[in-house]
Amino acid sequence: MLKFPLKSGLLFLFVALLWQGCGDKDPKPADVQIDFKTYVKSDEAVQNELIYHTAVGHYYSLLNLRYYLTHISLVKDDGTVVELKKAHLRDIHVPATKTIEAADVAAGHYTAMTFTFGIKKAENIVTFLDNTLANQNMYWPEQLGPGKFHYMKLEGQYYCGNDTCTVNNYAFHLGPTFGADYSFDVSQPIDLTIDGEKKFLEIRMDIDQWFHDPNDYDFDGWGPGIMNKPAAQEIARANGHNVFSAVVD
Amino acid sequence: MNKLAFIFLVVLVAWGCKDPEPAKPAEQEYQPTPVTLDLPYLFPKMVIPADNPLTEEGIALGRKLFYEPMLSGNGTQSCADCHMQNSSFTDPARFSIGIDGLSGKRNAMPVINVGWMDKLFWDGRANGVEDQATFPVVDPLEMHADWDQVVEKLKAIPSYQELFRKAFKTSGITKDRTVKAIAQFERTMVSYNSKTDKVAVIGGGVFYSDLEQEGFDLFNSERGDCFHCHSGILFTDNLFHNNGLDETHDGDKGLFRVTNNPADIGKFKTPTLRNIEFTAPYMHDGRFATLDEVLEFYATGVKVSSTLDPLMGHQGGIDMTPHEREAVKAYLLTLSDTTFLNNPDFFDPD
Repeated sequence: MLKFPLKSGLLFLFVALLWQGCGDKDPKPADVQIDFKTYVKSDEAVQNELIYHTAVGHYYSLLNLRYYLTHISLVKDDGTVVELKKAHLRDIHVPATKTIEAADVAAGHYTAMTFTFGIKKAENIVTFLDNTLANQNMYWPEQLGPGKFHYMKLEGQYYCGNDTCTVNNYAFHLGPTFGADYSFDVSQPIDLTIDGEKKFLEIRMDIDQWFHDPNDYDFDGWGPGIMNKPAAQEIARANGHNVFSAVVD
Repeated sequence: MNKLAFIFLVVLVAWGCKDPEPAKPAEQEYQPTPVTLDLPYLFPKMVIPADNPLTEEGIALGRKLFYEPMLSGNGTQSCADCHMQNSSFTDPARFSIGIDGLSGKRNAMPVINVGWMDKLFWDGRANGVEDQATFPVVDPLEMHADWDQVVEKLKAIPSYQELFRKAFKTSGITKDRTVKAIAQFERTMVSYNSKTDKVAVIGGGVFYSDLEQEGFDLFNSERGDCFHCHSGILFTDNLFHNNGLDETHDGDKGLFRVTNNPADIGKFKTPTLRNIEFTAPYMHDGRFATLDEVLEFYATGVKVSSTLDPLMGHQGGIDMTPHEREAVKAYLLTLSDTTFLNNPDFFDPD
């Protein structure tokens, strides 16, 4: 007498489960991790080696690199912008700055990663960033124009590659020279679908690109410091167009 | 048999239900009073370790320990002997003399605004203020003690047991709690009352003189380029640089001693410029007796070596005129804070 209802019940449960499994599945948000990597051409950069070569014939090294990317965002195929972090200071000497993680990023298909290199003029004020020692070390003095923070400090050594010259230092510091806005926006195409599973991306800076295309940068010509040289800042901004790339792992 | 088992059970239950033995009298718990530093808004947030929050009692204990000669091997020298308040908590001697009459090879760093430092000493060998306090006690050139002996000496004094109980909720005296208390006191040693701090207050009615303003402008220019290392409101980036003192570094290799990285040879921690008027002699080895000598060095004496900092891109120096040196010096003197030198909160409590 009990047999039939039990069978029916099991059958009902099976069908219900099948129905659930075959029904429309809502895509789920997921965490996104971004690694910040430093390249010279096709290889990850090494520090303290005078091995890199500019178009004007200088060999140069990478000693220090600190830079801000702001409004790091993902853009959906419908144009929706999802900001992952307002501002990130990457310092190659501080491992904790190599990675950022955004939790529960909205599900969907993303077709671009966007950010600003540096800090836009309207936002380059003292209250835009947390008052930390690291940010204070990026202060831009008022004597060099309004705007509170450097965009980037890239430093190293260079020489001509033979015995006719000595090794010199360069400090390729970018920022709001005399109040101008040399920050620029970057948009990189990506193909990223977020649906419950953690995703990994990379933002790569190719240092070599700062020094050519369209302008060949001459360390000798510009001298050791360029914070007070609008023309050098303009060159850097123009060269910056292909410094960054985004990669989905 | 069953009856016997029943009686046994009753006895067991009775045993279990009897009043527990009176507990040992517990140490009376004392709640230390939390302290929040009232800092001017331009100062960055001080990161205080979660396991060593500031308390009135911890700071008071640290202050007493800072002036406690029992921290040295023969009971004659305290932290304050080489970090004197009227010298902005550094030593006016080029090299401090330890309890055995031996001298070190570096000038004592000032204890000022150290609460923001995560690497201390000229070579950065200490990770944080607590860690820093462990070194001089055992250094044979300084206090030349043994931490176990120091702890035993402190334990023998009832008043310290009481002070530790109030600071850490236990009268147990340990090396760890001793350096934590000293660190708490040192975090309160903040200088923020110089003329420059007053000028920074918009509408405060305090202004630089023309000469000071000229120095301020040169300090913050690409040519003077002091601001990159002596940056922000703390006037130090808390980083390590080779500022061109020497062409070779056969003697003191600085940060290299800690990292073993050849790129760090000749790099030393950037000292704060706050109270620079009172912290002579200057540089890690105290080679310059006056600010004039320092400015002369930056004007004409910078030496090139393989690890010379990229920010010192000016071979030989920045060629400041005598007038410009006077201007920079005038600006540097606006960083003097005599209230720090005379703050009774930092006096010897005994």
